Amino acid sequence: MRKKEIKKDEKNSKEEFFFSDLKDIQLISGATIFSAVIVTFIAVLILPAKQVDSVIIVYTGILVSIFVAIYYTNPSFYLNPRLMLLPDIVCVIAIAVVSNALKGYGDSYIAFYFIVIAVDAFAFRFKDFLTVIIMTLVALIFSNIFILRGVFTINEIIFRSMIQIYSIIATAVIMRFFAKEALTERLEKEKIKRLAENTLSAIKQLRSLLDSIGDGVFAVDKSRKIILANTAAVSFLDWDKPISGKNINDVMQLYSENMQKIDPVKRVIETKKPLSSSDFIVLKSGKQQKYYVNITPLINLEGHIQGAIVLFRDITREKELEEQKAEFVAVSSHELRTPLTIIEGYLYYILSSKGLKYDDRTKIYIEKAHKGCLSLQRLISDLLEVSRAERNKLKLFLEDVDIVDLSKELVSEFQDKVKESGLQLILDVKPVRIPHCFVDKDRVKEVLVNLVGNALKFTEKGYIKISICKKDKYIQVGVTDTGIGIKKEDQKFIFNKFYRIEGWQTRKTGGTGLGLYISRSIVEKLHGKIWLESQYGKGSTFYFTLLANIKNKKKIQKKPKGSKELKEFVRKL
Amino acid sequence: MAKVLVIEDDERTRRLYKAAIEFQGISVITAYNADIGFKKVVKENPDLIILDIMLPKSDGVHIIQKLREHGMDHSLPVIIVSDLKDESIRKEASILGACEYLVKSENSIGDIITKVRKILGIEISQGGAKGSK
Amino acid sequence: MEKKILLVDDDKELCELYKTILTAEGFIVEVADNGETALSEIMKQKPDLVILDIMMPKIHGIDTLDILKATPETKEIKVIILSALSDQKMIDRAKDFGAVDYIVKSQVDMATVIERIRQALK
Repeated sequence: MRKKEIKKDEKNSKEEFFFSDLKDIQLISGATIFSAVIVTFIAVLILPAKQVDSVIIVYTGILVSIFVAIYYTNPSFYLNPRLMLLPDIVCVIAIAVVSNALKGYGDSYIAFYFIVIAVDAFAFRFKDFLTVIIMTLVALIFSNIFILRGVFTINEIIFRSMIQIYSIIATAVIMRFFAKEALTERLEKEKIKRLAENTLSAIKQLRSLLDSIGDGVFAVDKSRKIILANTAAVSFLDWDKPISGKNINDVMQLYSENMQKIDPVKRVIETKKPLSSSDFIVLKSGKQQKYYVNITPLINLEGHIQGAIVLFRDITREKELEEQKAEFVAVSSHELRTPLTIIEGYLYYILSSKGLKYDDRTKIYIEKAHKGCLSLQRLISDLLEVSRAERNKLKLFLEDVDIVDLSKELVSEFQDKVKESGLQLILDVKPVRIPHCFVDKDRVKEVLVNLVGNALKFTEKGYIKISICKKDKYIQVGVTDTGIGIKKEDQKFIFNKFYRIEGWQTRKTGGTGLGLYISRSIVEKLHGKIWLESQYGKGSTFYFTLLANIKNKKKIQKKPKGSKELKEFVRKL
Repeated sequence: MAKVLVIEDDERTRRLYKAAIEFQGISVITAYNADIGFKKVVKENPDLIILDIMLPKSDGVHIIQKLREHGMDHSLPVIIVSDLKDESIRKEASILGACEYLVKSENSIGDIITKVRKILGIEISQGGAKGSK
Repeated sequence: MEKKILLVDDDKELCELYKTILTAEGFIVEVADNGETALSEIMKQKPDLVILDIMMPKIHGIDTLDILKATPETKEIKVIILSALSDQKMIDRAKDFGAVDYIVKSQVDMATVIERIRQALK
C-alpha cells in the first residue's frame, strides 16, 4: 500500500525509488525509537532520583510518545516523503536531551544514537544522512550546554561535547562506509526495477498500439517461430490456443494466386530482402482468405538475419469487389461491342457498297453516323483499358528486380519485330554496378514495352536504344529513338489520359492514347519520375527513374569499436 | 481405320476429344465412367485408350490394372490425362505401363492430338492408315 | 481465284453482316455457329482463311484453333481470331496457338478488319 502511494507522487520520484522498500528500515527505525523510549522509562523508574533529571525525561518521553502516536498512525505523515526524516530527527533530539538528563548514565544511553545513525546510514541518501548527523551534533551540543550547565564545568562540557562529537562522526563515517555497499546494491536494484517497469510499460504501450492496428502483425525468429502476434493476427487465424512459439507454417499456409504452395517467410529470411504480394492464406483451420502480405527482414548490426515481421491485411472484400468489377467489365465489354460491330459494319457497308443508291445528303448523314460509331468504339476500348490499368495498379507485387536483366529480356523479345522494321535495338548499360530495385517486375516491364513499342511505331529508320545508368539513389532508364520526334506543343500533354497526337503520321499507328498515361501511373506509384526529351524530326528519348534498393545491399557498414561510437552509429541508423 | 477409346466423365471434354480425334480421321468410342470403359475395351478392341484418371469412384491410376484384368491387351498404349501435376502419380503411371502422362493445365488439345498421331504412327499423308507402333 | 473464308461465330447477326460485307469485297464466305460444326466444314471445304470467335458453344475458338494447327492437313490454313475479349493474355495465347491475327470486335472499325483479312491472306 505504501509503495503505491509513493509511486503516485511524481514530484519526488527520485526519493521514491530510494524509499520504496524503506518499510523495513522504517520498522527498524521505529523499533529503535520505541526501545529507547522503553529504556528511558525504565531508567526513570529504577535509577536513584538524584542521578536523574526525571522531569526532563518524562516530558521528553511524553512528547516523543505523542509524536509517535501522531506520526505513525497518520498515513499522510509517515507516507509523505518530505517527512521521512522526521522520526530520526525527533529521535536524535530526544536522545540528546535524555542522555544529558540521565547525567552520569547518559553516556551509555548514547549507544542509541549509534543505533539510529547505523540505521540511517543504511537507509538514507547521503544528503539526508548528513542532515540527521548535523541534527545529532546540534542537538548534542545544545543539550550539553543547557542541561549540563549546572552539573559540569565549561571545560568539562566542552571536552564531553568533543568526545561525543568525534564518536558520533566516527560512527557515522564507519557506518556509512559499510552502508555504501549495501546502498549501492539497493540503488542498482531500484534502478533495474525502475528500468524493468519502464520497459514493461513501454512494451504494454507498444502492444496496445499493435493491438489497435487492424492488420495482423507477426514477428518471427529466424527459425520462423512466432515470437509476437497482435490481436488482429490471432483473430484472423481463428486460433484459440496460444500461438507464441509455434512455427508460422503450423498456423497458416500461404498459396499464390495460381494455388501453388509458397513460403515467402522462408524466402525473406534466406534472401534478407523484403517481399510483398497479394496472395491467399489458407488457415490451418481450413478457411481460405485472401490477404495482402508484406514481409520485412529483421537484420542486426552485424548484418545477420534475426527474423522477420509479417504484416497481413484482409483483402477478401477488395478482391471480391475487384472480381465483380472485372466480371462487369468483361460482360459489358462483350455486350457493348457486339451490337456496335453490327451498327458500324452496316454503316460502313452502305458507304462502301457500289450497289446501293442514295443521294449526297443521305451520304453525309450516314458518314456522320459512322463517325459517331467509330468514336463510341474507341471510347469503349479506352474505358476498358483504363479499367484494366487501374486494376493492375492496385495490386503491386514488389520484389527485388534487376532492371538490366529485365531490359535484356525485353530486347530479345523485341528483336524480331525490330529486324522486320529494318531497325536496330541497342542496350546500353553504363559500366558501373547497377543496383537492383524493389519494384513490381511485370508493371516495369509494361512501361518498357510501352516505350519501346512507341519507339518502334514512330521510327522509320535508324535505331532504338535502351540506356541504363545510376543517378544517386535512382536507376535511370532511357529509351531513345531516331523517329519523327514530338512537337513542343504535344510534349506538355503527352502523358495525359487519352492524349493522341494528331497528324497523318500517327493515324496509321492507332493506339488508345493511354500507354504513356499508364506508364506514368506505374512509375509514379513506384516513387519514380518519367519525362521526355525530343526534337521534332530528329527523334525522342523517354526517361524514367526507379528507386535503387540500397538498404538491403549485402555490404553493411563496419561495426565501429567503442561504446560511444556505437551509440553514434545506432543513432544515425 | 484406327480406333480410339476415350474414358472421360466430363461431357464437354469428352466432346472435345471426340471431335478433335475424329478430325484426324480416327474413329472414336467414348465411355463416361470406368465400368463402361471396361466393357468397351473388350467389345470394341481399340488401338489406343485415352484415360482420365480423375474419374469418380475409381482408383485413379490403378484403373490401368483393372483394364488389363478386364481383358485389355498388355501392349495397348494408354494415354493418361490428369487435372493435377503430380510426379508420384506420373511415375506410378509409367510403372503400370502407361505410354504418356498429360496434365490438363499444361497440355492443350493440340498436344493430345500430336501424341495420338505419334503413338498410332499416322503419317502426314491423307487417311488413317495404321502404321507400325 | 477468289479466296474462301469460313466465319465461325454464334452471333447470327454478326455472321450475316460479315458475310454481306466480305462477299461484296470479293470473297467466298461460309458460316458456322460453333467449333464442332466448323471442324467438319473445314474438312469439307478447305477454306483459305478461318475467322474464329472464342466464346462459342460446344468447342470454343482457342481449342478449335489448336486442333486445326495440330492436324497436318489443316495446319497451313490461316486463322484469325475475332473476339470481344481484349485481354492481353488471351491475345498472347491465341498467337501462341498459331493465330495469324487477333481482332477485337468493335475495337477496330470494319475498314481495318477488311484490311487485316487481306493482309492475312497475302
